Amino acid sequence: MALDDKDYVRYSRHIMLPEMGEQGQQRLSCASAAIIGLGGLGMLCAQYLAGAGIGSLLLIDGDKVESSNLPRQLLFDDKDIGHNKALVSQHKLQHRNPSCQVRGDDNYLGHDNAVNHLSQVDVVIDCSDNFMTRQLVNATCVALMRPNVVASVAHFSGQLLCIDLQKAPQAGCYHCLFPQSLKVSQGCDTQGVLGPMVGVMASMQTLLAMQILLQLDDVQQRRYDTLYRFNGLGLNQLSSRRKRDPQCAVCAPYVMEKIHG
Amino acid sequence: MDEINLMLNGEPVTVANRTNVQQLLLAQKIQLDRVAVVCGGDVVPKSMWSSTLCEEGNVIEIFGVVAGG
Ligand SMILES: [Zn+2]
Repeated sequence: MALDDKDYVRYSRHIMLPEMGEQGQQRLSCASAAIIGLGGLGMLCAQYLAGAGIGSLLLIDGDKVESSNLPRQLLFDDKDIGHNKALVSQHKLQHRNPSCQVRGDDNYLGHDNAVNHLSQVDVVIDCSDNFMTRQLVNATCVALMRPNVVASVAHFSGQLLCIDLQKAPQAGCYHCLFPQSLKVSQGCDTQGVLGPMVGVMASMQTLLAMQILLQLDDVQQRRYDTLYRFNGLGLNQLSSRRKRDPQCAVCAPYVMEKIHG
Repeated sequence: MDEINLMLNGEPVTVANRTNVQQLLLAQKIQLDRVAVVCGGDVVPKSMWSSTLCEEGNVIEIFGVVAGG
């Protein structure tokens, strides 16, 4: 889709980036993303991407807005309480960004709809709030060979990683790092969380997603094999290189031929 | 050398020579089904814990999964 005069003004701060330019903005305007979960992470990712001029967004969440969400989920207000998060987000973002095609699904992502939803987009952004859904998003993205940008947060801990088995089969998948049998103790419901903590993680997650959609240079060759762990008290971040678990049954059928030729 | 010294989540730890990652976790009373392991900046996948030997000077990080959003 060609940019018109209004677009040049609206997106001028993008276009002046040498890494992006007019071509990058056009690329973004043709791109699509699915956001799983419209909580603290997802509602911010969605706003950034819609505002930035992405072509289409698919928002998936069966949850409803509650008053305990409002201190950190800034897309929502008191009038939204009791309404579905995906549909409220769709309505508000479509109104603010008419050129972005925003669709909402008020069902949770499940085995019945995952393949259908995630096969429609260029990149999947996992903003869910539970381990089971994260495993489902991973398995579906692995099977569909879709890049999956995963962020999570609880207390003052955040984790961020990007999985693309075509780009980095040796780094494996989410299940290689965090197998389904793992017991989870860190969630916002039980441990609490501050708004800016979620905001930091969602911002880095969206930045990663935009790097992928814009095909920006992967300067350090670490985009697809790094696990970032952010500590919101020390304001520091650790980077680790992910390695595929040779015993991982989730990605084995899809990476064997890539690694072993 | 009978013992090796390593750093575990920023704390010095001494273990017997030829201790593997799984034995290290057990000796430190860390629940195996709650953690992921990074050694020297690289993730050690779970199926490799018992075949990965600790070495002198290893910097090992152990952490749980964060799942909230
Ligand atoms: Zn895997």
